Amino acid sequence: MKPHHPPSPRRCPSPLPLIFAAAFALAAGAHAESPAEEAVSESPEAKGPIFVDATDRLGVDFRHFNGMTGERYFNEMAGGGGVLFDADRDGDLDLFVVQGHLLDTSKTVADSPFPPRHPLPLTDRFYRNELISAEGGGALRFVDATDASGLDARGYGMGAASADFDNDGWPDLYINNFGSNELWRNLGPGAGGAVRFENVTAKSGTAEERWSVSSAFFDADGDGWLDLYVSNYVDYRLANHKPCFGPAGGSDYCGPTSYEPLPDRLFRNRGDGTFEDLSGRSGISAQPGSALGVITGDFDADGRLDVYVANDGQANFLWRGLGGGRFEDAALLGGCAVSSEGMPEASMGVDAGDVDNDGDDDLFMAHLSQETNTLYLNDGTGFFEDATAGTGLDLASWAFTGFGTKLFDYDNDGLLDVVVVNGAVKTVESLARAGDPYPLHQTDQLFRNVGGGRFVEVTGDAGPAFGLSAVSRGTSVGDLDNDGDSDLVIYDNAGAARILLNQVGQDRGWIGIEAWDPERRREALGARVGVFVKGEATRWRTVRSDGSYASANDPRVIVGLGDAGSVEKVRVEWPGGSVEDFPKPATRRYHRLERGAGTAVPPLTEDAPSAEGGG
Amino acid sequence: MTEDRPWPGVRRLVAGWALALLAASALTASGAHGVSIPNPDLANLEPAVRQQVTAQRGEVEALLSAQAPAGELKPELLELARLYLFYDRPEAAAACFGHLVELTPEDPRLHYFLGTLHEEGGRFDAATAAFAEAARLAPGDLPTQIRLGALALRHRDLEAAERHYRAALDIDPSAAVGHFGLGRIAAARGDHSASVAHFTRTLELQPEATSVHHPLGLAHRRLGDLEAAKASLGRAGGNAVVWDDPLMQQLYDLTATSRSFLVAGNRARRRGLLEEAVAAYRRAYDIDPQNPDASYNVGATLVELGRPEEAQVHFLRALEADPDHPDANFNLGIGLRAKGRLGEAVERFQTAARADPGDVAARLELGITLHAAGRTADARVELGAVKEANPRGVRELIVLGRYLVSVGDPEGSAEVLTTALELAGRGEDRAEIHRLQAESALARGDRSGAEALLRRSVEADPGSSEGHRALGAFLTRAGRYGEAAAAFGRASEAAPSDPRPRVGAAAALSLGGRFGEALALLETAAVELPGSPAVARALARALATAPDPELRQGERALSLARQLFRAFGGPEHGETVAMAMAAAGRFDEAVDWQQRLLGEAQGAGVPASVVARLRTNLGRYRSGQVALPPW
Repeated sequence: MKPHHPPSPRRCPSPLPLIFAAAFALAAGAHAESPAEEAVSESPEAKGPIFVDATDRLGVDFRHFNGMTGERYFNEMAGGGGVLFDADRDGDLDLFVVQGHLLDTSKTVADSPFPPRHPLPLTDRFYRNELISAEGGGALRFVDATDASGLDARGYGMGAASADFDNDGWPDLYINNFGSNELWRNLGPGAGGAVRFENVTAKSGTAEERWSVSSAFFDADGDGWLDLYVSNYVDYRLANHKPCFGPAGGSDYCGPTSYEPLPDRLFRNRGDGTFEDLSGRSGISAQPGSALGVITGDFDADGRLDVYVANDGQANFLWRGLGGGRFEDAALLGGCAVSSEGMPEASMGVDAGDVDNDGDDDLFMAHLSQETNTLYLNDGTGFFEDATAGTGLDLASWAFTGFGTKLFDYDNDGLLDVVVVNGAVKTVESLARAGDPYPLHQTDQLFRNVGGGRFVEVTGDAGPAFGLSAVSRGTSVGDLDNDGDSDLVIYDNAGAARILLNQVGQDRGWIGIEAWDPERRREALGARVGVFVKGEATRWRTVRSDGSYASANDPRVIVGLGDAGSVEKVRVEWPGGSVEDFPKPATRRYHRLERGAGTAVPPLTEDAPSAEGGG
Repeated sequence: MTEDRPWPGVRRLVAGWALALLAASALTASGAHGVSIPNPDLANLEPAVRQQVTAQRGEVEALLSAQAPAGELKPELLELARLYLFYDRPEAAAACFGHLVELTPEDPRLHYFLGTLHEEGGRFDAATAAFAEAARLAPGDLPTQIRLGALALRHRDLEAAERHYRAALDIDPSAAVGHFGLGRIAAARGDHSASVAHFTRTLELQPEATSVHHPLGLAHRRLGDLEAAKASLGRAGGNAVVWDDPLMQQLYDLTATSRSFLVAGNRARRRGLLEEAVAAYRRAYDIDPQNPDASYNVGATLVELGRPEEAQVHFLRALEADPDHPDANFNLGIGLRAKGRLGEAVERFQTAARADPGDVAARLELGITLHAAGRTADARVELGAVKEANPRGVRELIVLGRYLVSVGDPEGSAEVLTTALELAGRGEDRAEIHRLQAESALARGDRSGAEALLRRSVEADPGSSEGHRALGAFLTRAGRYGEAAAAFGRASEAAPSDPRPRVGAAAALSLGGRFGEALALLETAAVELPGSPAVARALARALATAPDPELRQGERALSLARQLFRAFGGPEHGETVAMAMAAAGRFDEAVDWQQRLLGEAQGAGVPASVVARLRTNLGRYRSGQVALPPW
């Protein structure tokens, strides 16, 4: 592998905002006061809606154009998504959203029932968050910085992923298209201060012509460079479009069984700005699948990252990392390939997280209507149990087709909750009868984890934004206003990218962690963060930006503390196996925990996670 | 060129999969019996369906207007309700069934239909109540108990679920679904031994329900028996446990359109109910023989069921309705090629490729078939285009590489196969690539390189016979007969029913001077593979040519050889007859046979080595000697 030499004129990432504590201070036990110390609410929901739609006032004017003109092209109802990432490293999350295009070139955009609102030619959009301003006086609002960024991405966008693939400190973008995918390298701020991107698809060797929706950056071979997993869907092209029909013979959208599934692709990062196609040698391409969602994590606790792939109508994959960039599918034996009845389900979005706080990542995926969404609980070794029945997540999802989904602790009570954004894939007759030009829309759902393996649907308390019926596809989770709770972005097909600000989470105790690898100059994706609270189960969270559907998320970890006032320590299990403790961090603030700045924890001691992890 | 992939599998099904969705219904009050007849929007229905529903609704309205007695109204209203149910107008159907329940509350069918509507709509409590009422009225109805059991399982009410599944088994002890339900309940309780027992019983009763192998495998895993778990999971498939549901199945009798049956078939197929899917597709065809998708889907599903021969006629029917149907052309092309009708297969693939020039699979099969038909230049163009279209397709690259090796293009094949190797994930693909590389190395005279590649082929896919057999053949040619026999032995272990490794091993042993062992091996093979002409021929030749007169059995060899010749004819078996005659001391007849064989062989494209052997043995027969061993 060639050594990496960043170009000299480029700037280093901006200094962290004030809310981040320096790692050395944390390691020394410094205890800064929170800027937003408030009384803790016993019942967050009682104060008002959990989420408020702030899209318009925050300046996000994005409107997705799916290109529909009546032919019911399969792909037109499947996008889109976006990315929450701190593109300019100023300490707040910026937003990238993918855009569609006209599909039938014999028509014009005026033929679409939802013509585009943005001027032609349409491109994906990049919105800069102005919460933190170098000049001070920043406020949460977004400015369309697409043109200044150079992000002239004109493919038919389906979704996107983000991470710093070249370890230069600036997070990059990979765009999944209906058509050739694109890798955009973040060059950092240019002369005018605006962050700039360049298209390095061809140079990097990451082009993928086949239809893909989701992708994930992760270090597949443990060499410190982020590799790229691209989940491909089916061999649908406009040239092989065919008519499909609903139950009573009316024209409708096709499903995945009408087309052949495709193998996924794994690109290995060589560390010199280029990737090699490792799909074959890794074992990934051995099985085609109709993949829509992908999430990475060390599900079997062997120190190697695995990949879980959500397939639509086919058995899901659990690509177990064997080391050296090789994988084997362990989903069947692992009990997470098909339903408990042995039948494949139509999986769309997928996420992972420790919903039962037992120290390992569980899996949750959103499914087609008349299938329940599914929760697989991990026993810590990569063996899963379908625990959906009786959780409250099952029957409530029967009438909905779920796409984007995230496990996140919206109320900061220490238990991971679930959001599922919905939208049908087949005509909803009642809507069609009412003359709806796009009769697929459904409302989204929010479930609160109340512990004991039970979830309660709180959609009714979630606010008017959850009452909106839309064809929702992707969703991203991140703390847009840096107030310590997780906000949402929901990407609607033929609709808006909606910003939903969390109104309740900041009222409970929380701690934010940015697990940072100074050598790689990026977030330590794949690291596990354990927050130790006296007398309570340790909350283990994985550092990741992947998961959901067609979307990427805030790589920072927010851990809800409920009513706990303090944290004994934060433990980080870094990729590669080293473990460090960071004692007594202040709560209600973010901390950048740098690898090497904590107290090393020797392996296999009484202090190891296995002894304490379960709390 | 495609003997390794005789049937590449079913391609995509036509028409969409379906899901039942809620549909609201407008209500039109019609007065009599307090009945309001739902009038859902029918605009999105196929015209024939719309006409059917409208006509039935007219019947009901007419009866209501005439204030017909309930006894006359009920069957017509029931028919309308079933139509609404079948055509996915659930709210209208529910309203009709609701009225019917008011008219005849003791009819269990009505509660059953209502239960299915509630269940599809996700109203599980209402569904349970409706099915419970159906069960009260008809306690011996199996489907009702099964549905109640499944609903209870959804609610994780294990006691209730067990009660209903046991009731189902009381009604019909051979109901596989009853044992399947009990297996799931046992799994939920953590009683994995009981789970294994019930799932095993399910499979005994319904072995085609391959989906059951999955929970069975997981139950084994939870009991710590990983080997049993892996074995079960290796057999897991997508065929669900099925059970008779007459009330719902009779709905199919209502349909008026081909398209509805297509969608119903797709629904069944998606649930793994392939036979049911075929039945629905056949009904679609019966209604509209001009619907090419109906015929195509019958054929495609039959292929999935492992009945490709039966499928051909349905692909042909699809082409009668739509000569350009790309998928029917594709699958028919595969079938024709398997029968050796290469010219016709080429035409089919060409039609499929014309319909969708971006269809890499069709162009790949076209290239393969062109090559098999000897149209190498056309094949090169087509396969080149495939590579262009999908430069990372492993199968495409392997096929192209095999073609380039066969036409003696070492540089071209090296480039293609190297790329394929980088991309190949499956061991069998990697093994095949190495074998092709070895073939190319041999053509260049690089014997050590070829051997190394063949050994890598074996490493890449050690469980496959192909790699061992190719290595055995190489070692035989290299004169390393002991190693060759061992390699063939491993190939035979991997594929016990394949006669080729056994004959290869016998040849290697014979060439290595271990003729007795070779003969013994062939005797065993003849017992284990009694229908194999290759084994019988090798045995006959060994018996006829054994260097040790003690081992030679001329009359037996002649008997075997004559049987083969009568059955198959041809110069190969003729040569065996001549060998056997000589062994039996009938040298004059052997000379006659051999001379005739030589006369036919010369100028008929028979390899020179064979002609030379025929000449050598002719000389031996003339001098009263038996033939030399053929290896």
